[in-house]
Amino acid sequence: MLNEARQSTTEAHVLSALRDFIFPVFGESLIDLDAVRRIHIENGRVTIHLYLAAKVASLHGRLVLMIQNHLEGAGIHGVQVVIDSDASDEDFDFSVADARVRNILIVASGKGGVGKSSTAMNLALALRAEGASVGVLDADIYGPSMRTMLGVPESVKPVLVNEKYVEPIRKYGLATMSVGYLSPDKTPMIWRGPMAVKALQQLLEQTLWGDLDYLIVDMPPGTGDIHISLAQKLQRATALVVTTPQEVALIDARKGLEMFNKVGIPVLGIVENMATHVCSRCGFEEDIFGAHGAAKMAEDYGVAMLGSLPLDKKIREHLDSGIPSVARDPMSDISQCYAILAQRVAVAAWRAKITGMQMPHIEIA
Amino acid sequence: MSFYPPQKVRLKKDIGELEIIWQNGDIAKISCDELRRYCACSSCRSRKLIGVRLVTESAEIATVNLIGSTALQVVFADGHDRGIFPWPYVNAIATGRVQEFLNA
Ligand SMILES: Nc1ncnc2c1ncn2[C@@H]1O[C@H](COP(=O)(O)OP(=O)(O)O)[C@@H](O)[C@H]1O
Ligand SMILES: [Mg+2]
Ligand SMILES: [Zn+2]
Repeated sequence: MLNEARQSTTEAHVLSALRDFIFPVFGESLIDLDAVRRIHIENGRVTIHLYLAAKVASLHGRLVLMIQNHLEGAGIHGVQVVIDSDASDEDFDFSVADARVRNILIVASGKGGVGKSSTAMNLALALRAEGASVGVLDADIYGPSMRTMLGVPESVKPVLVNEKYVEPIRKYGLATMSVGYLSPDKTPMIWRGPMAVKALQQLLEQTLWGDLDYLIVDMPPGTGDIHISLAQKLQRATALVVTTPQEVALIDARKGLEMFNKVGIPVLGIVENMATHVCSRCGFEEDIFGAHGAAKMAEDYGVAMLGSLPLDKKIREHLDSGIPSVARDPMSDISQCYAILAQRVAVAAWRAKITGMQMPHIEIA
Repeated sequence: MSFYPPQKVRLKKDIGELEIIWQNGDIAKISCDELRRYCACSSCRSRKLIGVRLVTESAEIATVNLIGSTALQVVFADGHDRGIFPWPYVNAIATGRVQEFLNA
């Protein structure tokens, strides 16, 4: 009886059962995501080969479990799932010199001090923890902060290669480059307009990034001409806009969204930082800036709310000490928040590639 | 599945209408007059603010172009082409929520 049931399982049977399976973090079926690469059936044993264009290693176990349960419900038992997420054949957002970057993620904010750099850095580490190779470019010409956040001593300078290229500085498993690594002292370089754009482009193109799943670009705050030119140089990138729930920051973030719309860079979503104050003594939670501003903006612009990060003085202390929270203790509650953000960002970047390919069809009659 | 970008944009010059078919299959129809009225480029917005009439009354549309996958550029027959309409704004126009959208 059991044997008979097994014999009758066909590829079409498996596919139709997978059609109405949605893994919550993915938000779409594996079929719509083009993730099912091969279904192998031998002696009634089913093996599903999946390809995920997102690095979310910590979710693989749960994904397999949920697929198996779902297929059992459809009468298909003993399914094996093989997951591959190394896209050696995929195209790149950026490839210059030895750099082969699959996804460029621009982290932007309308104004300074909202936690753009802190979020970029912990997000980078959280993606690293999901099994991705990650680079970070600190492009904030007004206030580079990477040296401090990563605890890279002033004496450490990027190594020049063939007088043209520079080796990124490697810390906590990340490949990093910063305008601050190159400036001789702590005073920020005064760069204006075209010069700033040129300098940042050089930093991007002359760093030996190697193979990266994600290159995170920490943009200068604001939405001026520098930002537009820079964004235009990163045509295949996607963007995240960091904001705090404060009225002013939200208005500025809105300008950020409009800027990316203008240059045609898809915005993956909004990240709300310093959202809720959790009193460290009593655990009482209160929204210090009023609730849901960022969520409302996300809705108006048709973009996702990718995460909400707590206001927590440990986040600041860890960064000030040169060991970001996710590097210090990847298992902490704070790191969990960044892990969830990283998973959503990775999936959103994947989905943007798919919808990006489905451009609207225009008819003029 | 996100709502934007739409599946299809159809410019019907004969009846002066833009038809948008959204991801979920919903169809929105916007007249070219409305698009002209709600052009959100800086010059149209400032003209409206100071109460000056638009340069021209003509709302005839020559063509529309995609700005990446995030917005639509509308080129009016009189040459005015500075209006970029992000999809959420197009949706706001189609559903009569322009003021809400701009003030939000
Ligand atoms: N979620 C948070 N909780 C507490 N402090 C934070 C948080 N995010 C950022 N900070 C602190 O706020 C300050 C500004 O953050 P930073 O990332 O440098 O902002 P930006 O890059 O947007 O200018 C820093 O001192 C940082 O450590
Ligand atoms: Mg910063
Ligand atoms: Zn206009």
